[in-house]
Amino acid sequence: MKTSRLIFSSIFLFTLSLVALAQSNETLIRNATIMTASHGTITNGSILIKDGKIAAVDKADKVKASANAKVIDATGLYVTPGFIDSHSHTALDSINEGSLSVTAMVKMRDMVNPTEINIYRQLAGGMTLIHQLHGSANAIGGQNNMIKLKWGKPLEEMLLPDAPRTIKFALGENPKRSNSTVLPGVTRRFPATRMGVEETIREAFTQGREYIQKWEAYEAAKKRGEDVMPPRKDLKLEAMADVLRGKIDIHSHCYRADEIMMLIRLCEEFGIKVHTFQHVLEGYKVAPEIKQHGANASILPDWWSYKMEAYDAIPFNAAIMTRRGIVVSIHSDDNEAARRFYQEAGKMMKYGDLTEEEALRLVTLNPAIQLRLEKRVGSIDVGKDADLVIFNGHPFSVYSRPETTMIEGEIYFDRKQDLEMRDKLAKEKKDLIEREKRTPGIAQPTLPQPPTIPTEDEWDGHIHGKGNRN
Amino acid sequence: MKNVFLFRLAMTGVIVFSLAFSPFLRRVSMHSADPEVYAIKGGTIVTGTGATIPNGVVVVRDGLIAAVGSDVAIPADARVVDASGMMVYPGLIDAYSSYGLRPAEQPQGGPGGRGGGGGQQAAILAALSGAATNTNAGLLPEVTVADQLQVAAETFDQQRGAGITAALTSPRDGIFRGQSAFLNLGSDTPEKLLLKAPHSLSIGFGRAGFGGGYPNSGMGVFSFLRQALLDAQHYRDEWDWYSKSPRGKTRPQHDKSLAALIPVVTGKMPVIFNVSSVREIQRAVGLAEEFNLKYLLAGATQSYQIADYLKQKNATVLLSLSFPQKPAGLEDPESESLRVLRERAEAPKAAAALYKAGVKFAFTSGTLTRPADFIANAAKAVEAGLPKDEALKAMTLYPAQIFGLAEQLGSIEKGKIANLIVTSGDLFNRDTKVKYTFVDGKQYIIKAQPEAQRQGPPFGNGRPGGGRPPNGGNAPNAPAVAANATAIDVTGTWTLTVNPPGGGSVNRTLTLKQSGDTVTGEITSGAGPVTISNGKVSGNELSFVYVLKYQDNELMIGARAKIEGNSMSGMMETNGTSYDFSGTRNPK
Repeated sequence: MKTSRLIFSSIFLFTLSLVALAQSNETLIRNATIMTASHGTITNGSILIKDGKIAAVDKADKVKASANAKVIDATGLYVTPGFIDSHSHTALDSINEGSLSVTAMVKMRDMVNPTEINIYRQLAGGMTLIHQLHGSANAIGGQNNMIKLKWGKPLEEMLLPDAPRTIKFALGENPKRSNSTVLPGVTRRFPATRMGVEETIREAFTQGREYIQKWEAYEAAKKRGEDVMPPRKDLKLEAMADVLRGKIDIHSHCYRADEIMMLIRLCEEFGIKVHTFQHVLEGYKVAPEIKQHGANASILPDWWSYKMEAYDAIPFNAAIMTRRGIVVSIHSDDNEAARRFYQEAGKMMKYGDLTEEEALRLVTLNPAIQLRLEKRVGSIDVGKDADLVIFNGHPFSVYSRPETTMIEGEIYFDRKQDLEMRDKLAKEKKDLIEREKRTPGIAQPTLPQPPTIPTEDEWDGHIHGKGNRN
Repeated sequence: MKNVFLFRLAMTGVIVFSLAFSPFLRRVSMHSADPEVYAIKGGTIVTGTGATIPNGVVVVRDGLIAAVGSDVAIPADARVVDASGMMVYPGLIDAYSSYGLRPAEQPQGGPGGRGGGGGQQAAILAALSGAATNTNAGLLPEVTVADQLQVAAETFDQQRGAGITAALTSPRDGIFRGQSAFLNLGSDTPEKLLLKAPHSLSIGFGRAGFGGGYPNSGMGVFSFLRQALLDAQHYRDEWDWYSKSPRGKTRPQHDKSLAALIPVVTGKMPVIFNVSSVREIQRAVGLAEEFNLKYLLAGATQSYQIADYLKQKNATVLLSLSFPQKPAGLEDPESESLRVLRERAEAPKAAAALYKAGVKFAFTSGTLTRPADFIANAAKAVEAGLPKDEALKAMTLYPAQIFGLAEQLGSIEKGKIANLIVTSGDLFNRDTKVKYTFVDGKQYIIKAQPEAQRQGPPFGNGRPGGGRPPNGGNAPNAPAVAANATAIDVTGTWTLTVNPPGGGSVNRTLTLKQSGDTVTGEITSGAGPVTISNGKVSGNELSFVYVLKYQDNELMIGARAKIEGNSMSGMMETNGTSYDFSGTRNPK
């Protein structure tokens, strides 16, 4: 009861003292098999954590901790970097602003729900950092967000202060809405074709360029001492201008080779780059072109045929693009897949013979590179954040599971604690139900709920097994 | 001749008669011929400032408290109200409500309309949002609530019966929900009842989405609000720039939406954020800090979880007394999550938590449908640890202070407005009844509450059948929905006018057959007739569901309508969008 209360209230209280306490102490993870994701696997290795950072990683006999260090004996256990999901919609109260074809002004940061239970569930699967994307309902969606899954902490502590800015683009069936229902009497939103998607993006780029020019003209006039009024600040065009200035990375949802090529050409026309292609089901067809453009690929491992544009997907996509020199990551795009993310990575050893470390990098170092966070997270190297997962066996075995997940040296999931907590929570629930036993219920409003109709957000995916991916 | 005389006599009579009853004369005579002087004597006066006067007298004259004390002489012209054995309190204030605003009169889809009907407003809105595709009154900050008030003699009967004598009022839908009005809950014209209008701009974070236009997501709402506030700043600066030296400059456009937001961005007019969860509260505070807005948090049911944070932010909370309630007919009590159960258990403790943390707060009725629950739930907060005098202040002096009306309302002191209630006992005792209510110094008769509502626990099953009125608002004008249900028969063929999102209207034919409270039938659609399911009549409300096959997709549409004789009006909902429809029954 007491523990659960503490966890409950700590969600909202600023328990900074606790964090400080945890971070100031040294922690030593001893005698583990350490899969670094950057420089091979260290058997009989130890990791020293100091102030939330990795202070040492080496053979056990070479790592010395101070006498008061907290020691985790990991004999027989495996340690990997915390997993990073480069394409997630977890912990968001809202996913699509689908009203317009360009909604570059909206920010996912505004809709983060730091108390969503999926954060905890994914921690239990070793996830420590997620890229929260806008949906794919429109050609240019909103500005994305990144959080570390510090369950129980206020949102401010989950955010990464130095995170790069990214924006969601989307190509193909989702933005043209060929799969969505249009209510009788409603006009279809432009664009309804792939040509239209291209034109929508080109127009937004053009508007962004004009916006930059407008401000430059104003600044110049001001410099000349003229009595001029600054132009209206337009949040949509501010974002488009920053995309053109290279200050916001483009993460574009795409499937087909032709649309991938379209976006590459369009961006090159405006002198910018697609930073990362998302899903990229046909990336293997145009891997050299993607490499030449300098884009990354964040993909679904082995999903296909769930709609027309997904028919040509193959599970060898990751391996082919990796061999072509592209930085490839695997993403979940799904609350369920995100809970066993390491298995998604493991499959890529089977399809295309990626090495163990190459497969591990698909969910650690490579997504870190795609999010420009590789100096901070993504591998077990000295100086990086101590975002670590301790497995009871090899992470690519279907019989393995995470025992402990830590972020910046602090434990956010521990299987033993979780099991203890379950009884307490069950008892608390029972007590609360008992307390209300004689309270008569109140009839709820009678509006019929249509449970089988997906909401706007769900319509574009999120129904596992039958929807599109966002 | 005689006839002429009679005619003249008759004419004079007509003129005298019509003069006597002309509105002008009636208004004048209200004050001159009918002095409102009362002396409430013998009761225990809880002044609301800390003092309690046993066996005291309150003298009310011309709408104001003329005297209060234990040895006050009773004026010769006073009507004496014997309050022996009773308690006298300041009239209660509901710090946030929709009183006097009938749901049908709310601006959702109102002035401006959808589609092309908006004209100038549409243009302004497009400028405001930068990208709006349709207009919606819920997006217009210039809408003033005072202009929408509809007050008849009996409008506030229920509130007065529950001791509520004044309230802040604002619609419950939209993003910009109107510039709120603070009024006394008397039976006069709105012009006489208003104390402060506009007071604040009410803002909600629910997506506009009515018609599918921007914004239809949570983040869209925030971007919309940011752009609107930025535009207002720009508008102010642009006019300053122009007015200083107009010669040689192109004149800026006038824009009433942006003009209405200038007091907000300059901190002269507070905003009221309608929030409930912790994260909504924090988003609201974040937006307020980003634009340096003065703000109040209304509803804020989870505010107790971040009481220290709110204290640190020096935030003011208009705390809802509408506690979450156990749903009826729950087959498996385990099906509710622990989080939901916890919130239900903690809700009555919220006020005490805010009090302990030192957060300034006042009580609101929130979404309570029975004004009587206002006191009953405040009593729950007292049981859960809130000191009694703090509970009283949260319904009297604190809201008066928050709204800048402490010189006029909130306590029983000489010179303040005579909003008073006399109760049979301690306000927070369960069986206490409000005996007399004074608003603006006028005594109102407390109409007997229907038996069904007075019995049972304070938030037990005494609620009238038929659930809440549409929009979750208070509908004081609407007759209580009959508990004995199914007094209506919807059988017949109806012609419906459906107004789907995006404009234009579609006609549908709805054929219904009612048996008991079950309804069967079919509705025409673009793809031929479709059988309806889940058809039900409850009170005067009809609900049904039907599934449209559209291309390869199935689209479920839920409909709900109020039936009045041979006409119906209501809402359809599908795919996260709702839209209105109306219908008439075809003659047989």
